[in-house]
Amino acid sequence: MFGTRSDLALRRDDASRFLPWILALQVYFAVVALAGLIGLQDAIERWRGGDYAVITVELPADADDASVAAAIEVMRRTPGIAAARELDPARVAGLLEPWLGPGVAGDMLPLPRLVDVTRATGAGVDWADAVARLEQAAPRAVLDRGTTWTDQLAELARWAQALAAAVVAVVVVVSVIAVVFAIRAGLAIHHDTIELLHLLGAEDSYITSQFETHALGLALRGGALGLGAGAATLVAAGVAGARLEAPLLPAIGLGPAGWAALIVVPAVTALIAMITARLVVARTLARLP
Amino acid sequence: MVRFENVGMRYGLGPEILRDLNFTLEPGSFHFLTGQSGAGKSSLLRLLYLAHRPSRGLITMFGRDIATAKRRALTELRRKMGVVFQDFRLLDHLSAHDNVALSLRVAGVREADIAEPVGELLAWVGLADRVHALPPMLSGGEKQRLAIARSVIRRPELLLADEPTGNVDPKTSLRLLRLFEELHKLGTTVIIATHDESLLSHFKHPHLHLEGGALTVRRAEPEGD
Repeated sequence: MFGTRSDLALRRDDASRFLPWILALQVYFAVVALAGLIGLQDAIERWRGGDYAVITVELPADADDASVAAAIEVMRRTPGIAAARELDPARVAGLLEPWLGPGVAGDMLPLPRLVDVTRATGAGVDWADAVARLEQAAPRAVLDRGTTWTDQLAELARWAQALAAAVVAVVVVVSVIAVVFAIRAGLAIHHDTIELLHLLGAEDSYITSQFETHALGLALRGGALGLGAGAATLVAAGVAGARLEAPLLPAIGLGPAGWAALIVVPAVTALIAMITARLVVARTLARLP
Repeated sequence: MVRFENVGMRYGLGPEILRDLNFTLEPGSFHFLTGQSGAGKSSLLRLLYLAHRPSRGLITMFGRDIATAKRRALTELRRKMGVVFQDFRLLDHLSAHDNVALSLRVAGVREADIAEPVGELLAWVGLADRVHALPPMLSGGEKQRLAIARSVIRRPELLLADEPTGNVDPKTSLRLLRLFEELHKLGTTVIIATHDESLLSHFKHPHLHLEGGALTVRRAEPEGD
């Protein structure tokens, strides 16, 4: 492996043929799960920040124009708010028409007066201050930040993240188990050769390094395969997601840092394989006299 | 160089194969290890090349008590020895050259310092034209000589050979033993396990004779070549 000479014919073992495929599958799962974990983090922050919430100020149907104007003025003067305007009552009634039928809303059913508020992109808003000033200017006005749904979405995404983290943890455990079995098989197959090297005066590290290098090579091969397949899946998911029309969903992307984190996955897998191989072989060698 | 005091050995919970072994090997000595098949010759050699721990008694090698020696120290002791195994234990996937070179590589010798001595030694044992051959392509005698070459490439202080003439004709056997004598003259302590009594008659070296797990030292009566 890697052009280095090996006294043990490890590459001929059956376990050596299967291990890269097993690790490729593990890396694939880890890459997809990690991508979900990273991608959702940005969405959660935006949902929690209210970037995708619909903000309205609601006044009773009998509120006078002065109260509505006062509420609009308060919102416009609030730092972080880009615009505030009253929704046309006819439009509000139109929105309810599919459920109530034509002509019902507004005539038979009094509708509240609504002020549509638009946040400046990325700006923070001191909502407590806005509510306090709104109470003074228009005591019957109620500010609805519309975060009920987005908070639930953020909570759901948090659970999805936890699930993704669990998948990554399972992948690590399964990878370690796969390497342990492959290395143990190698130790059993090459027991006589290992004993010979030991009797010829080989340090444990001389034998261990051969298994380490072997495991590293197999894991890198499997890791590259898994990363390639995982990246292809993410690109395909990205293309499909871009076609989706969902105003509450932020564009879930990884960015350069996210992709860099994914590239680390096969490297970490290879490192885990190498360390596992070292520990398993060292433990076996310690039993030799 | 080697000292056994009341040494006993058993495999697992089995009966004692060797018992109450007491002997000393002086540096530069030459001994044959004799006894019937199953007398324990290979077991005694396993104790000597540190493949097995005694179940009781004290073994001192190169001035060190092997019971208290650290793992690294045992590795150093092994590097002072050369072993010819009864079944050769050559690596079938390595060429004749690499099989011999293995002894040097495990001892940390640089690659640049390996090719020349290995080539010379293979020529000395008559395998100059088989350098690249894999062991399965070699005859029994050639494997024997290759195993011997691997055991002596590091110029060991102690050479242990388990039935090194078992697979060759009497003429070649005699030649191989002469080869061991040459090494002995260079200062190597030699122990050769064999059951070939007729061959032993050509040499005047003392015998360590095993019978029923016990060992006696016998002086040999040479008959000449």
